[in-house]
Amino acid sequence: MKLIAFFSTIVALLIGFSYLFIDPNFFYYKNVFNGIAFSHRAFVSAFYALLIIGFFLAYVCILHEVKKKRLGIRKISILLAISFLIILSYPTVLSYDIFNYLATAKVTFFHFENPYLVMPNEFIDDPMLLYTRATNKLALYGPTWIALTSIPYYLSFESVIAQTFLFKILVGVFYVGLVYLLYRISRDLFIVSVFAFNPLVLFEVFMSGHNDVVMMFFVFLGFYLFQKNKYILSGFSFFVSIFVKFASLFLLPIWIYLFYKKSAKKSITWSKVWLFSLVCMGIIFILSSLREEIYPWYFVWLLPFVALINKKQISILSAAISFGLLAYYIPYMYTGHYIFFAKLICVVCFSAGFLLAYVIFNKITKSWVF
Amino acid sequence: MKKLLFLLMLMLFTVRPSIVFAESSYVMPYPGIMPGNKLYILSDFLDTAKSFYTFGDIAKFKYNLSQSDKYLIEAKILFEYSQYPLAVHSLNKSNEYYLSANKNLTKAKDRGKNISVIQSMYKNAGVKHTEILDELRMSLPVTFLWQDEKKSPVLLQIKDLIDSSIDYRSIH
Repeated sequence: MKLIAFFSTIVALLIGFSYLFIDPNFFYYKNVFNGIAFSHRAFVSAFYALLIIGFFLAYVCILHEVKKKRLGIRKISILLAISFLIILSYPTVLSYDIFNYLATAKVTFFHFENPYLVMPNEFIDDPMLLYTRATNKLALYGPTWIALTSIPYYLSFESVIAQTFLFKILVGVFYVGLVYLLYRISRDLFIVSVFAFNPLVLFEVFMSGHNDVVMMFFVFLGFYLFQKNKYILSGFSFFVSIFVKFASLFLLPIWIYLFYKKSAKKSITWSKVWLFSLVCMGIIFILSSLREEIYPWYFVWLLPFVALINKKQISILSAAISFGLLAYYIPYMYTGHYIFFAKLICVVCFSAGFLLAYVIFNKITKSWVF
Repeated sequence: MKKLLFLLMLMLFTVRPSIVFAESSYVMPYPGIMPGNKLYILSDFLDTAKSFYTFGDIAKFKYNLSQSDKYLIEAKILFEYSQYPLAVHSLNKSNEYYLSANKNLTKAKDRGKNISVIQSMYKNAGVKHTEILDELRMSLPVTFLWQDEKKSPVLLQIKDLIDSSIDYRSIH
């Protein structure tokens, strides 16, 4: 009960904290605009650091309680429902990507233009240009994602505020679906919790509304269907995942391996499948630096596999990396810009956060048996 | 003073006036695969496939204008190499796409889209196209009698075609 109360408190604090970041150009919120995040940078950075520490504390406590079998499905469901409330937060604390999703959806479903050929900034008098960043880019995501965004877009009746919540609800629904699939695959609440309550996942899914979890849902739906001997549907689901965000294409060798094993009537060692999938997604995670940079939310690609591998050192390492990746945002919050020097501090911040978390998590989990 | 006057007079008689036309900054595409190349059919097929993928007034406008640019450059090169029937065919295609782009522009305007940027693009393209067509008009014959092997001769009205192409480009 204390854990649920603590978790609810930090979720409430995160939601409230997010509204300090209202963009002055996001005029739909002009009545609640306060500018605190831009005028009190040291305060918000410190508060954010405390929040991520709070969330990791809750994460470790949840895992500990699940390990001790003191948290059952009912309580975990309550915690998941509380996590879901983070969708009430203001979305652009850590990234402005959700506005890009909205802009792409508007180009497609309002202007009826092909988002792969027409950029949002070609509609010069559209108010979305005031608060959307990277309006000079064509659609970056696959047609599956664009088709899915039609649901929140039409349900919003063109209300931008409703869209910001509905887009996050859409992503949140896929998060719940992914958590459910992890449970169906593993039948282990600890494995589910390792992924579901990771603060990086919670921040990136429910606050920033990043669509990486949608891609991972279709990947795991594919694995699940394969385990249920529905091979065509499995392949189709994997194919659909590629057209959300192209990163899952790196799992193609795994699918070829699975189909080869099946056709040769050989048994499949799923622990190996998870390990090789982690390696494949790890490669694309690192290679993404060649395109632009490694963004923190890309780590969500690896986390479901980390959970399923269920090895202590890998779990601790990934939790420490998640902590470092959330700490990565602190210098940006403090300086307000993303020039080389600030980026350098971000890397330093990530490394320090990672090392610190790694040492602490190792000490906390010393007695844990995986 | 006399020296200065002398210098001025010298300049007047020695410096030749040169006529400079205002040139459009619109950039035309690099000529791709030309007719006669075996891959030309494939290139044509890809362009047609792209037209199916292109939806929306602005996207279609961009597609049609880019096709018009492409065929105009193609026509220019073919004219320069005296491949008149092929050049005439390309120029006709360029005209068709140019007029289609204008239709997309009108549709976008009717649907309440702000077309100021693409309208200016269309205007600049028109100026650049006219520059190219003017150059061609000066260097090409008025008509040309083309005789293909085993076919009856065809009289190509080159000047008329270029004049009408320029007329199309004057509609903004």
